[in-house]
Amino acid sequence: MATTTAANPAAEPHGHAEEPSYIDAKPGFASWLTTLDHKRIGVMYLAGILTMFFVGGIMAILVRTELWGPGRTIMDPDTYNQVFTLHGAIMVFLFIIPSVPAALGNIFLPLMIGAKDVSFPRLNLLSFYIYVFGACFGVYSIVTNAVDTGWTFYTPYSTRTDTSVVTMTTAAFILGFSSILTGVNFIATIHTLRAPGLHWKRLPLFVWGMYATSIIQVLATPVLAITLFLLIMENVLTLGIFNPQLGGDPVLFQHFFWFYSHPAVYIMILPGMAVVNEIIATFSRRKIFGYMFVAMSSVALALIGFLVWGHHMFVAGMSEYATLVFSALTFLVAIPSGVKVFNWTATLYKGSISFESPMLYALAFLVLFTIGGLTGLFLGTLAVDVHLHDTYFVVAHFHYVMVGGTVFGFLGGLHYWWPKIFGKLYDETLARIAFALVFIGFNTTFFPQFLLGSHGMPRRYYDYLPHFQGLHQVSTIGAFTLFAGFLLMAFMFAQSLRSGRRSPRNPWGSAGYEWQTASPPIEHNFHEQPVMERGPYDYHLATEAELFAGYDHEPGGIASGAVHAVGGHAAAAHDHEEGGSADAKSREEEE
Amino acid sequence: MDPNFLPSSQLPPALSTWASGVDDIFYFIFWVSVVFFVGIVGAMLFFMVKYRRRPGVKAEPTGHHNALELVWTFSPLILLFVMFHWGYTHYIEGAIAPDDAINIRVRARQWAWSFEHANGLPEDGVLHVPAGRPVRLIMSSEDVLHSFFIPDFRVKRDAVPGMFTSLWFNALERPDIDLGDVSTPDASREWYRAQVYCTEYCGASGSWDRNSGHATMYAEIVVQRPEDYEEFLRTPPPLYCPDGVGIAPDDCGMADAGRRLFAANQKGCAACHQVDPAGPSLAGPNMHSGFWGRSENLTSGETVTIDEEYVRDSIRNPRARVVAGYEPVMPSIRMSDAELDALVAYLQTL
Repeated sequence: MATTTAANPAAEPHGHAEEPSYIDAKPGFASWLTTLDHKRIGVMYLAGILTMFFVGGIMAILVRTELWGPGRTIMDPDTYNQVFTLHGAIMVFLFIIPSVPAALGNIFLPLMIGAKDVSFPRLNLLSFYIYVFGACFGVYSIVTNAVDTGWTFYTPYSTRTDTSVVTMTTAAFILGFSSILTGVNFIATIHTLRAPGLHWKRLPLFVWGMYATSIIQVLATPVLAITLFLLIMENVLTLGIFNPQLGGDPVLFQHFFWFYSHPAVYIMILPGMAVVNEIIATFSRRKIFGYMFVAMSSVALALIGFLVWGHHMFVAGMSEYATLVFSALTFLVAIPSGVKVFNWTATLYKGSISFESPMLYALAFLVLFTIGGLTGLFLGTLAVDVHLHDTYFVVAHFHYVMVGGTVFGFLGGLHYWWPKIFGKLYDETLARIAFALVFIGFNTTFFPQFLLGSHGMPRRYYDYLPHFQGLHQVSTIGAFTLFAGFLLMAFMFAQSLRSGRRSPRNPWGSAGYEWQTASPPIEHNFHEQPVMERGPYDYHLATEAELFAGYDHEPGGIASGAVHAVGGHAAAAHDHEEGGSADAKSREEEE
Repeated sequence: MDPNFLPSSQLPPALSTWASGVDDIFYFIFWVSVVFFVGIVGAMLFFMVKYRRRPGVKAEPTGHHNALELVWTFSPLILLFVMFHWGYTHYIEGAIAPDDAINIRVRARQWAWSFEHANGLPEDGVLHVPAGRPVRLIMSSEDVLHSFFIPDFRVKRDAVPGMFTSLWFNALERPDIDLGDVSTPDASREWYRAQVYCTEYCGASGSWDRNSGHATMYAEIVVQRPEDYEEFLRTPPPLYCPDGVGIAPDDCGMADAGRRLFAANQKGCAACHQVDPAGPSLAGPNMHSGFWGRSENLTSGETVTIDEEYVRDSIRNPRARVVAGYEPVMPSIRMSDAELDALVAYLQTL
């Protein structure tokens, strides 16, 4: 059995049995550094962002350890301020923003629209190198300038001692170019390279999410360049723009910063939602309920996201009339967010739901994003925000959205597509234990922070009054649990890379297009131009054999060669009819 | 373990007239959220069990239900509008101070709050206010952004350099706290206190031993009966024993008062000046023993002796004569002649 599975590329119909995967296609390290293959670029991005995630995670653990007790625990206040700045800046700019679009999006967007590559493969490689350069520049300037401003770089604190705000904004600006290039590339790819038959109403929702994200990346990031330009003008020509001593206005910096950074919040969350669509559809064997509403809600979030930046500044000294407008617009964000949550829940109705690790992350996303979204209502309400602003309530809220939302979506996607990316299966039991640790650890860390915040504990505090200690300690215990979960997950994936069994082409039995090619895919993704004759979620049109042996685009259904060449898969499909999943079948094989 | 390990309520006590209105909105949103959360997650869990994968049972194809989509797209707007409107109207109430409010100036700097009452009486780190009267704080910052936050009053506002911002509150009268015999006004009688935090990140300096920074930029509001507050304004407690609470009589000398004023949350000198020769270097010169009477080179190239004239002048006019090797960054810190006398007396003891 195992040998049949290992011979998976032979499953390709039409006599392409010998074609190697994109990983084996060209040998040597140099072939990776100069590759134009979107999948290889995506894998390099994946390595980059996971490294940054690890570094940012270490910073988070240091912060939580310091907060175990009041006063000094392990470091001095200025060190603490640098550590939380590093945590925020690394996680936002180097991990979350590129996590789903640049890594998973790069790999799967062309596969999901039946294309050979993105529209501009060279631009794609360039954007990766810009990311690497920006990451090095950013970390270098944080460490050498001892930046302790928080990731928001508010003036005039950030301009008082040195010019760190200029170097840091430059780093964000360089990284922004990487985002812009990826965004332009994705928009062009989605418009021009869709396979025949893949009209807009069949577009996988992941692709819709990438489309909305790309729009924001292209439109919002240039504002960062304007901010940087003004900062340099102020420093070089002593023009009073942000510095009150020169007649400038520090609140203006906040306007500029959030005009980019609030849309950036949607650059972060939309891709997480996009992944969850795919997972929920696959594991409940149903098309996402209200497909067009879900697709359009992503676009709506992208557009409304440009109009709400002022809600970061309700107590910053803005006009009351401005707060009125920003509060009202902020509430509109709840509408498309709610539409998504309602439709995901409705998708489960009358489905056939299984609970492999990717689905666990997607369902956890649903729970955590609901908490993150509902607590946003408190912060959009003006009178209540006055009390909660800049407290731990805000910290908890955005971690529920950014970690409970985006990171859980990213992790779900990583588990879901891992067999496709590397052609290896992983230990599902370890994955589930890691999931449990991550889910429990996350909630233990951040739920107490809502209470800390509503009781008045401010953010970015090195020290705190004794009555906050109990909740801080619960939170720290949660952080270590979360960290343990991530370490176990890292071990589980490393084990899979080293000794994981070969993955079949479609281990989850998904109807999605990307599962119809080999695992890992061949260098040009498909042997011939695919023709999409049904939607990516049309489980009622796909036969069991299709789902496990691969959807064949030839008119007349399954090519007989496909079924014969994959006895193992046909058996798996048969097994599926009896209630077991392909994955369960594979585990039985191992035993 | 601390009996207050977990708080028994979601919000701290509401001690201003405006605060209970905020709490009403907070709990309204909370219960709406609970209903939605239970509904969504409950449905999700129910479907997870009911429609789990079973042999021979296929998923039903997804249909369309435009009416349902439109209902759940637009009907939440009603609840959202209620939240928005309620929050906004209450916010406006909190934004416009009544005409009869008492004005108090608040000056923020790294890392201390200073106050000045309407009659010019200054205070540091502690602000006395009357209960049952609207009080408006007019705030400014001398350096970076700060934010004045009183959780028990539910109020918060940034102090922005180059601009005046304000907030107001009306501290509740608390009949639940018995003050005993109140027939004669007493300037030192306190009804209750409320904690003040800085909630806009403003940096830190030094090691923890002499920490001063964002995390310790505290102040306290002392609420008094209006009669006691009037008395306080007329007869402020003697400088050398500010409120007489917790200070031994033999600790009430002039130099002792100077030592307290030196602290980070009072005049804030300790934020930049060490008095320990082994301490880490901070933004200003170390004032360890022997510094009084020492000769120092100035950035201008002159040499001065650290004496009473130099110290007094440097506090009044901090950027005029700066010791070589330091930046002219010291702010003008407001203090009365009596406070200056006390500080100088303290520095001479070092």
